[in-house]
Amino acid sequence: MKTSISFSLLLLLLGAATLLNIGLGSVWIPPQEVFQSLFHGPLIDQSHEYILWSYRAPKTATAMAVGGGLALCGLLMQSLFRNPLSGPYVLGLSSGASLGVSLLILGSSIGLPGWALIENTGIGRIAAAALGAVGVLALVVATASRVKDTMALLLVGLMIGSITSAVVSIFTYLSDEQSLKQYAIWTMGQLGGIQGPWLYGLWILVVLGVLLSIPLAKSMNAVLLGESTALSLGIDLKTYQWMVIAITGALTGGITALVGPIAFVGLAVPHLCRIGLQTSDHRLLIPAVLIGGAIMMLLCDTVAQWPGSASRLPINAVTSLVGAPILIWLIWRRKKAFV
Amino acid sequence: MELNNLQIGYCQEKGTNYLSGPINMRFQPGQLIGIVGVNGVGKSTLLRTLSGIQPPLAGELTINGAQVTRWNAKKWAHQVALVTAKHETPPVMTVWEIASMGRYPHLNWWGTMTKTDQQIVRQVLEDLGLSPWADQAAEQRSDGQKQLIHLARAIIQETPHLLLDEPTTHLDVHHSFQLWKWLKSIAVEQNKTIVLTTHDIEKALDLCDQILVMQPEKSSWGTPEELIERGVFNQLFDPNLVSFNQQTRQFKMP
Repeated sequence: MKTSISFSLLLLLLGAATLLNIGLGSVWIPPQEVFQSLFHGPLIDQSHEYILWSYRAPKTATAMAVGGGLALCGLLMQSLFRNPLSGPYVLGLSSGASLGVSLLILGSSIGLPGWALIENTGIGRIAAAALGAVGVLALVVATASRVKDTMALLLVGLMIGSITSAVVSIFTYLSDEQSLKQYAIWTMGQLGGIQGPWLYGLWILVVLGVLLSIPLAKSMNAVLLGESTALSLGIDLKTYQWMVIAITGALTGGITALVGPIAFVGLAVPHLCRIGLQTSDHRLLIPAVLIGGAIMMLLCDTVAQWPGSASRLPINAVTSLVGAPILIWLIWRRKKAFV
Repeated sequence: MELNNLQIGYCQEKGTNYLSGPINMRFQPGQLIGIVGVNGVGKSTLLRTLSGIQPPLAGELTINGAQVTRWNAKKWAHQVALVTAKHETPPVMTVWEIASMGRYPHLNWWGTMTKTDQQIVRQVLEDLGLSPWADQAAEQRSDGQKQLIHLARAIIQETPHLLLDEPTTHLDVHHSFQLWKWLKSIAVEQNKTIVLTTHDIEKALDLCDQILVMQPEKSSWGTPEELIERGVFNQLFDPNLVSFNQQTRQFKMP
């Protein structure tokens, strides 16, 4: 009963955030126009019709997939590392993806041997980002198996971030203006501009990730009691661990390649859902973080697209401004659980 | 469950680290089995090996006459339930939620509980006196109750073997005695083999049907009377510090 109320509330919020996100921008498109265009054919105001379907709707759809996907990654990683501070951004996965993309975008401009062969296309960018993310994840998993320490893991993530920024700054120094600008824009995060096949691709990736995660819910619950107990409850730990690594690597890599590194959504949303729903049952948390992630991303994007203004703030700055204080608040709130 | 020359320990980069000597023993249903020995001798490792979490280094382990080497986690989970010494009680999970995880090996991929499953959980919580807190956060219960919650989880798993790593640590005398009593009656009434590690040797001598005394060189196995007769406990600790009185079955400072 309590759960169905919470989920109804979440869905209601998602609907509101979606309408707000579609509606607000340089021009206001009211919800009734959105519904009219959706169910009764094109609007009389052709400019609104154009803005709605060629710009706003794809951006909203991108924000939903990105938010849900990253929040799911956070939930999976917090379960895998049994560490509440895990997330694709803090553990350096996004940095790894950035490193891959920076190698691709900036590498060709400084004339690394053989680089001209790899085209700086969308597919190439996704591959580079996914490789970077999985590479970092492998490093973090190796660290986690050696040191059983919450802080050590985070330090590794931090160091990976430092290495990335060092490599990137060397590239920045050497590369030409055009690729530099291309890279700088990518790092700020860009939800707009993902259209057609890329948008479908993003949604297919996220939906696949969700479908593969659902059967892991039982294992994720059992792991809460410790790995030995999970094993003694008949959980196939190896399969579970490899699935989590594959899903988070692919999702973080794919999402980061398309929209740039997005901070803190993956870390904050699972915590907010746990607190909001008062549960650690992953059969409820998986759908909750998907909806919650989408809501957070839509709201952040709405703030970034400052209502009435033509210019937009970088989305990554907004998620950091919203997400980082949430993290600080979480640490304050339950300091015990983070030691 | 039968152990033939079983050797336990860890494979490390520097070589194999054997804990204790080869172990031979055989458990019968309905028995309470104690495992005692000094710290670091490998009591917990033995329990991990007997529950299939860690492979043995050498020797043979059979359950109901079947070789266990190729068993998967699910098959193990139907035979052996384990309560580790450091069990975790995650925040916001209720007593009911933790206990009902014991049904996991019997449930489908999504973990759907049938009426029968729920009845089993309800009954065990009732038996262990945990029903009043079923819907409350397990984290807020006392150490003794947390121990009981995890014991409930293991009983709910309905396996012929129940392995408990130091179940009476952190418990006061009252709760410790109560737990011993429960374990004894569960073993007899439900015809389970209950194996537990403990530092409370005197209690183990009183209540266990068989005891394994683990020592680095050679482990001894037998009924309390046989072991006392053979003088195993007199040599277990440094005689300058601890002496064992065979008549009173108690340890004293000499």
